[in-house]
Amino acid sequence: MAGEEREALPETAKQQVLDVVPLLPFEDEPATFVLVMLELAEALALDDEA
Amino acid sequence: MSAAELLEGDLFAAAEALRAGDVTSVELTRASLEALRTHGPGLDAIVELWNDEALATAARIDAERQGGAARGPLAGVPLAHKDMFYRAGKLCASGSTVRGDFVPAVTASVIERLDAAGAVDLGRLNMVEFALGLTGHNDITGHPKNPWDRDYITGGSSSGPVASIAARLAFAALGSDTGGSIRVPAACVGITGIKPTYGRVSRAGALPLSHTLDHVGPLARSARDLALILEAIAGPDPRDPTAVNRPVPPYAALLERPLGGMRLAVGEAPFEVPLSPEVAGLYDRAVDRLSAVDVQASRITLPPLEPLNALRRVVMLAEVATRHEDFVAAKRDEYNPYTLARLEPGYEVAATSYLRAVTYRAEALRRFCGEVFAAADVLVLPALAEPIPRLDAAGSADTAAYVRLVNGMGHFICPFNYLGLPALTLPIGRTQNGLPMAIQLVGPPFAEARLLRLAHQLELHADFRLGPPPHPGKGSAR
Repeated sequence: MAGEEREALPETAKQQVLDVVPLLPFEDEPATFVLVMLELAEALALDDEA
Repeated sequence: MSAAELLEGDLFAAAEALRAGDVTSVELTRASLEALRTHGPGLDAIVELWNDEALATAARIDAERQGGAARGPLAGVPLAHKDMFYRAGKLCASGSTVRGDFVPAVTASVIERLDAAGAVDLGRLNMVEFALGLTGHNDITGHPKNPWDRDYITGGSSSGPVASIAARLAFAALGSDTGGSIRVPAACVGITGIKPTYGRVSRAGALPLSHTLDHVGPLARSARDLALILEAIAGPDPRDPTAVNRPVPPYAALLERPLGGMRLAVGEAPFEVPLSPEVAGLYDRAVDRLSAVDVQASRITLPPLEPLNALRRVVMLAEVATRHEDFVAAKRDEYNPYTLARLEPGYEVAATSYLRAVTYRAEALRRFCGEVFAAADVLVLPALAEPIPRLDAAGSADTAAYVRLVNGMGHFICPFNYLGLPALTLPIGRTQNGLPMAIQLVGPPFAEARLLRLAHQLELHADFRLGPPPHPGKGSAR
């Protein structure tokens, strides 16, 4: 790990990270992303591929 | 029509000429190699050309065709790709010296599929170091030049591919898109590119940057070219568990299906990031031209995009920093300083923030699709907010200025990496500096066929396309 060798981070880049940490819900059993993709594809784009 | 003349057109027309026996693969391959060799270096577009292997492959395809072997539409078509797709036994440096001696033992699944389709691989094209940059700059391998005017950026990170395609040196290429690296450079040089749905195309053997956000897709001069290539590379892959086991539609055959009053949700101002007056003018005129095809367009206020961009940034920073941790420890001095400045903030992303951002992705997708696609088939929105910047104005020495610039360039683009939705850019005209401008089409998951069909019709009937730069291959437009 090169942590000790790192130079100070540019302030704007650091702020960009710190500012955007959201307070988002974190479900116990979150639906996986790909399953939601497939569910939405069935609902919204199925006729497109036939 | 000669091979050199065919190189001015699109891949689809060249493939038809090959099938008709009007040209051979050897002739087309030789023409593209010659164009790349002559004009590629001036655009800083090329890393390496595989002259002898390419001509040998072309000769084999020609012989197979003469022997009556049935091959697909890509058989004999020469392509060249971003230098991040592994081919066993061949160098793959990904725009860096850190991996300047990296010779993969495996070949990327997408390259294997193009090989199986009979495409001819001409070599490696330049890119931003490790695909981590949206302007196209690379101090190590050279800054690729925009064929419309060498003083302007190509966009990145698929910079060499787009310069080569726009300059009529190569028909098409594979690129990658983690935060706009297909769509932004395509927009900057007046060609088209599609970032498919997350899971539509395997990433096995493609240099990883941020595995949650990485997408592989084609860049070309027409939607029908994108359709041919996407059809060849899409589909499940045991080497990439995220590649979804879902049938691949016949994208090219579906291009001519009538649009049938396709419902378009058209984003309208005010936007979170305002369009410059001349970009706004081009966008509004392009929206007016949508009526040239059989669609029903409704204006909408876009859902907030900046929260999605912020979430994408958290995911990308954490994953990129992790991906490069060992390399940075071993070879820190070999990185472009600005590449380090872009990836090192990732070490400060809390694990809890990263996990929340990744986990929320499913809910964000559900909400976005519910809001936009409940009453629309395709979302239409700007690609960029400002005209393409000059190379010297978009330099990377000032990190704060760079962050501001790329956050603006990625505003309309990057949300669809986080959401994983298919998105396509295509040209709509040129701004006063002579550089291209583009529009973006976005669909629900796995609606690539719909986007390609709409883009194809817009190219044909609404003038959503640009011809070649005034001096193709020579690099300067004015």
